[in-house]
Amino acid sequence: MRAKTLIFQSGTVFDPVTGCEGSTRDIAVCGDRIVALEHVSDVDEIVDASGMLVTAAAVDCAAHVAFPGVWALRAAGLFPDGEVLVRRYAERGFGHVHESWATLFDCGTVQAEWARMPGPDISVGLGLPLYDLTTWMEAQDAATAHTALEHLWATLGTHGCYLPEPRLRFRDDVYKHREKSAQELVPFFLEACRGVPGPIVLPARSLLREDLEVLAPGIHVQRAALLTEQGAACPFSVLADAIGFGMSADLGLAWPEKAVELTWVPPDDVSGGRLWDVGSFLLLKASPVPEKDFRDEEEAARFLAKGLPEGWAFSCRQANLALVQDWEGLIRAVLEVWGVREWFLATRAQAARALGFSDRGHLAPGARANVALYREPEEDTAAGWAKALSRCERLYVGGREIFDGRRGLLVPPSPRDRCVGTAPEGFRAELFAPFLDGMSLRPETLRRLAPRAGEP
Amino acid sequence: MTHKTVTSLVCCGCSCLCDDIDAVIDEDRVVETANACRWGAARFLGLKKFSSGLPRARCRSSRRCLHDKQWKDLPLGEAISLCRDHLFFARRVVAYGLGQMSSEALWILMQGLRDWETLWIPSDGPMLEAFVEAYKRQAPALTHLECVRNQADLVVFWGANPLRSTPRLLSRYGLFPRGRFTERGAEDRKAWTVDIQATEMGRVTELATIPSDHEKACVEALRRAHAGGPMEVPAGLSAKPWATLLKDVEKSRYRVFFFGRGPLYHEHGPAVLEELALWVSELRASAPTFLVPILCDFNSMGFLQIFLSCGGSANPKWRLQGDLRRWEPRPGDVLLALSGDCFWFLTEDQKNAVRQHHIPVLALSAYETTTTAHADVVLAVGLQGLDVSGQAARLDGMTLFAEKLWADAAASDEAVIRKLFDPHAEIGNPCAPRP
Repeated sequence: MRAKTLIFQSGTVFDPVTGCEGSTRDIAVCGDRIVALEHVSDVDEIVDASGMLVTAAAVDCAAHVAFPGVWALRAAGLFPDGEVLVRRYAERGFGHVHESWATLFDCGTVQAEWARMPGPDISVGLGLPLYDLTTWMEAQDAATAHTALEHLWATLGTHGCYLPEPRLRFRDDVYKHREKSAQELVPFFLEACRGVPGPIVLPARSLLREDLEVLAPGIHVQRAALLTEQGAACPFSVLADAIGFGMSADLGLAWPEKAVELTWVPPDDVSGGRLWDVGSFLLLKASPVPEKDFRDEEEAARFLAKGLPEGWAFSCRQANLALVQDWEGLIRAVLEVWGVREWFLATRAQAARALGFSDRGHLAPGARANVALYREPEEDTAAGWAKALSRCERLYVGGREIFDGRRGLLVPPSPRDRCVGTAPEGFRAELFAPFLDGMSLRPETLRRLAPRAGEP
Repeated sequence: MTHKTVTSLVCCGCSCLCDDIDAVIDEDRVVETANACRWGAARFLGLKKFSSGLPRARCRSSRRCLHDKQWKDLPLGEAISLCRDHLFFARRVVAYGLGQMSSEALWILMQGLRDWETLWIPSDGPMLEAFVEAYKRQAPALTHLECVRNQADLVVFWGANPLRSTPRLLSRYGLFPRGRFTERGAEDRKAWTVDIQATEMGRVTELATIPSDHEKACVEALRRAHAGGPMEVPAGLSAKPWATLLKDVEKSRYRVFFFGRGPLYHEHGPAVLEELALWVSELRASAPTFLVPILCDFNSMGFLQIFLSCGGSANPKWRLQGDLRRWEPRPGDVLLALSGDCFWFLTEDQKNAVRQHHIPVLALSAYETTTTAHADVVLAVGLQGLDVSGQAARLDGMTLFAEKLWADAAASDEAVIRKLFDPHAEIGNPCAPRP
């Protein structure tokens, strides 16, 4: 069957990657991809985009939406239900959401939850306590570890990797002699992960000053602005210096609204909030966001200016960007620090790049056709742009319209089309043994999870 | 005779969702299982749960009840259409059961009923309702069964008898297995059961018995004693076992409290849970401490997750009700009995009211039950993990996929519910479920 072709006609295109920053252009889509206009012959649909801003759909590169135990937060009335979150993402023009992590045994839960939330494209990072690699680490067998990780990623359909912390620690004293530092562990881990698609992500709070040397290349720091706080293990200025080493980050700005944030805490620091043990040394903690506003943070504001030209992306300290209720207020506040161009870069191209997606966050031919249309701003001020960019009029994901400002969420693409990941050609259960050591699960169960989880 | 062995099946016999069941298949039936508990084995072998050896009757076909109390078999599509007609006139839908359905079916059901006044009464309702209420006020920590297996050095079964409700919880996760950091299995763990009577759990754990009306007072006494006060148990109880329990709690480094439905058979059950949740929250100041509900139906946790994810708490037309006996049938109700035997639990007054108000009873079931015998329309579906595939959430919230064993397609609850709300949906070409 021939792929559907559509053209967004006469829109004001804003796409810094292709150099369009307000020029009137047509954007062509064939199937789920952006194509060059000259390659389009038969057009199935023309979308009149005159008077509209045409941009790549935004990317939330550091989201916690479907994490394990979210039901308990919902029961307590602390977290919106899935439909609210997905509707907010669509209303704001988000075409891709990256769930930061799911552990081996939560993978099915997270993917199933996302399958019930029709809307944006999704990708899920694999949450990996480094204990799982000790067998290969002790044998210094990075090649086998690489094969096993690659197979695991493909089987579970995950994208990239999330380390709660870059070292190996144990809760019981009897195992202390087996602990390993980042310096011992990370070079091996990076070697084992070489060539695997997606980012390696670390939460900012788990960083130590001495980790930076081994972490800098190829590591993405989640919610870096958290390091402006006192008590963070790694001083903010040290991290800022690491930009030059090739480290990327998302900013994780705090917005003063009632919401929760997810952090990792050691087992002996568990006061307040709600806790989950997800199999790491650290426990996952959900706690109310302190009443603070990043605009009051002088250091954070300076940091913004420094990080953005280096390719840093935008995220929010709340567990995901859909939790922010005053979205217009947030955009306005940010635009008073940055320009519009930086906003588009940080929420689109750089957010996609942080996740290792070269085909998202821009409108160049070959990109996935995730396109958001907004009304043009009435005035060229921060307030005017914020008003325009806070309300998406039409959102396309993979070339299909999934949201219309008047009609709401439309029939979504099937979840399978939205998931990133490829099933492996052959299933090699023996490679999973070290990952499942001590667990009750059988490898076959993991095989069943991911390919099915995406099904409607 | 051609025998074939299949491995690593997921058992939907209870909320443990064991994924290590091996089975020997002889053409179109399971003749032997390995690793399954008696309940699981009975499910795979097609036998009754409590009387192994006796076959359990399956719903052979969809049907409707005629005026003269005779049954008429119907094609599944027609039976679904009949249910749709009944639902069309419903002023309120009463959905009972739910915990024995696949997650996919539950999600479609909730999408379909989102604008309908609906009373949700899961068969594990008392537990789910109590936990939702407890989570509104307290913040007990949660954990995974895998983490319990790997870390827990103290497990307490409060008002629970997992040997009856989730038989492999002890052998696979909670007590006996060797985990990453509990390398000697049960030797690395202290285990306690708190119950209102002596149960078989006394053979494998320490047992503290307690009158049902003193449960909350005992938790309060433990809390106070843990905070440094004296151990003041209610009059008539010996303080010794409670002091020993507290000592074990204080010595341990990773504690898990499994809460069973026992206390919830009494009116003060929710208060016991609330008090325990409070204590568990306080205990974590000294070491990780967790509270885990022991649910019975294989997908009760899936129901709760989906209900909350679909805005169930906020939907003004929906109400989650724990106890079926609090349902007051009224004209305009339609009773959807979804893989749960509600007529087994209804009071005589409720049954009379159902008859008096001509409340249609629509049953979706894989087995013949008291409810299917009373139903106006019966929709026969396949058994999860045997005839049909689907997702379910384990009692700790982990989602697993139970794959079907047979190639020929029985109707899944997912397909039936989808067709119920979308007349154009396909239900495939289901063969009658096997006898």
